[in-house]
Amino acid sequence: MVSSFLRWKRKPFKFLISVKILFGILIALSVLSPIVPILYCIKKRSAFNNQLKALFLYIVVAIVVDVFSAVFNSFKINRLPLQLCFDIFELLIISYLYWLQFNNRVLKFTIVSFVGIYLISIVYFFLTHQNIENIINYADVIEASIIIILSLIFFFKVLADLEIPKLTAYPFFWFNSAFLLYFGTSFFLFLFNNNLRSFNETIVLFLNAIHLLMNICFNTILSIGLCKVKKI
Amino acid sequence: MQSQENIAILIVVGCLAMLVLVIAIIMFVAIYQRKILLKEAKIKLIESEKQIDLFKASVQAEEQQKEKIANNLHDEINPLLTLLKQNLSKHRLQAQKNTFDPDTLKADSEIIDKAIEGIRTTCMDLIPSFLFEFGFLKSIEDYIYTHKQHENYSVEIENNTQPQDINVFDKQTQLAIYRVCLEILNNIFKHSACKHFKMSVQKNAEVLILEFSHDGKGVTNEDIEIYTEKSKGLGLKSLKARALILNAKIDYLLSQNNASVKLIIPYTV
Repeated sequence: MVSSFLRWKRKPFKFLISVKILFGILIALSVLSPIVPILYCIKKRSAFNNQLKALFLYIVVAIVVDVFSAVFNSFKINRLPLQLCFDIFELLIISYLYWLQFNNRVLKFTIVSFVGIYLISIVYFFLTHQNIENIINYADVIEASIIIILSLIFFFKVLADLEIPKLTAYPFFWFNSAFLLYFGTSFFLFLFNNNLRSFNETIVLFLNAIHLLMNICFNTILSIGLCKVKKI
Repeated sequence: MQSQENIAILIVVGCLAMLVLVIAIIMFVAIYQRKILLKEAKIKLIESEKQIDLFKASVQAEEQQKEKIANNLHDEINPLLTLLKQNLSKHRLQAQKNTFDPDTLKADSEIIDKAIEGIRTTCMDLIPSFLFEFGFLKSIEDYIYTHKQHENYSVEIENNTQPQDINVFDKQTQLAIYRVCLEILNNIFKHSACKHFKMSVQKNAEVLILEFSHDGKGVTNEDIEIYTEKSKGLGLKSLKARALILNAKIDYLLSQNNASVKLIIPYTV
């Protein structure tokens, strides 16, 4: 797929412009995609419990951070500290969602341990004077790993406990699928993020497009989950 | 540039592989969970059908018992009482004519004795008074020794319990245990053709264990399941129903020279 993209580079200028337009559309769609789950949240506000409140907060913060990142980019302001803060917030809030979901003490303790390891790692990276870009890369990989593990634990519990009669009508199944899909697929991007800095612009755009597509999928699946929330 | 392309391809392939894997996991969980739930529902349905069968069997057994009592009263007691009434009429006439012979009352007394015996047998059939006086364990022993009088086998009884271990059970539970044991014993004596029979009773903190072992023909749990399914009689089905009510477990064990039936009754019936 990348090769076919790269073959277009025989007409590099035209290609780059069309890719940039497509990429711009994709960015816009990706930034706007959280609006759908936010609207669903507002529609289903009567059914809000702590889990949905946390999810709503997460989606709102995500869209605000996306908008601020775009503004910072256009004003050439360093957006990385904001990105790092959001990464930490993201892990905390998603861990909290799983913490509310699991009743088992061992699992709750596991979640707290994961969060502890994550925060200690970030502090460690700071203390070892890594640059913020590296810290974000490492933090992203650890975060994705933790969330993938938590989502797999949830699926394992679903099969082991058999307490959910109709899985597709259960909102958290969709939330969990969204987390697994987004963080599972983006895992390789996070893993090689360091290398991307030195890459050709077209390749970077193409790889970022994958991330944006996944973000759109993520918000779409979250919307499906929110759609399954029953109004009280 | 070539290495950049290679890394990019690696990332894209990795992302795609993860995407496929994630979708496969999600689909697997959704489909497999549904499949397991359907299977469980099917098992529950079969179990509830079995429960209904057992309930029907116990109701039928009760009806049969009522029928037996009615037959006893109608065929044994009723003719005796009718005969006694006729005799009394005869005596009244004889007394009026001054031809009454007091010796004829002896025959009437025998009729009354027979009627009393008949009523006693019927009552024993309903609830054995011996059971309430001495507990179900003594009643079972009594039943075994009574049965042994007509058969040719040796009996050994080993009781490792104290009376309080048995009296923990209320009367109704003891009656239910007694009926279960009787059914097991009947089956053993009827089908095993044993030469030696042993009953041992022991308890641990949570259960009372009654083991009936013998050197005759035995069966396994699987055999009993098949017999219960196929049998048109009510014995095994009502046995299973009673055990279910007691929350007890019946284990049919078979070894080379020995067969046994273990009745395990929890103290939290």
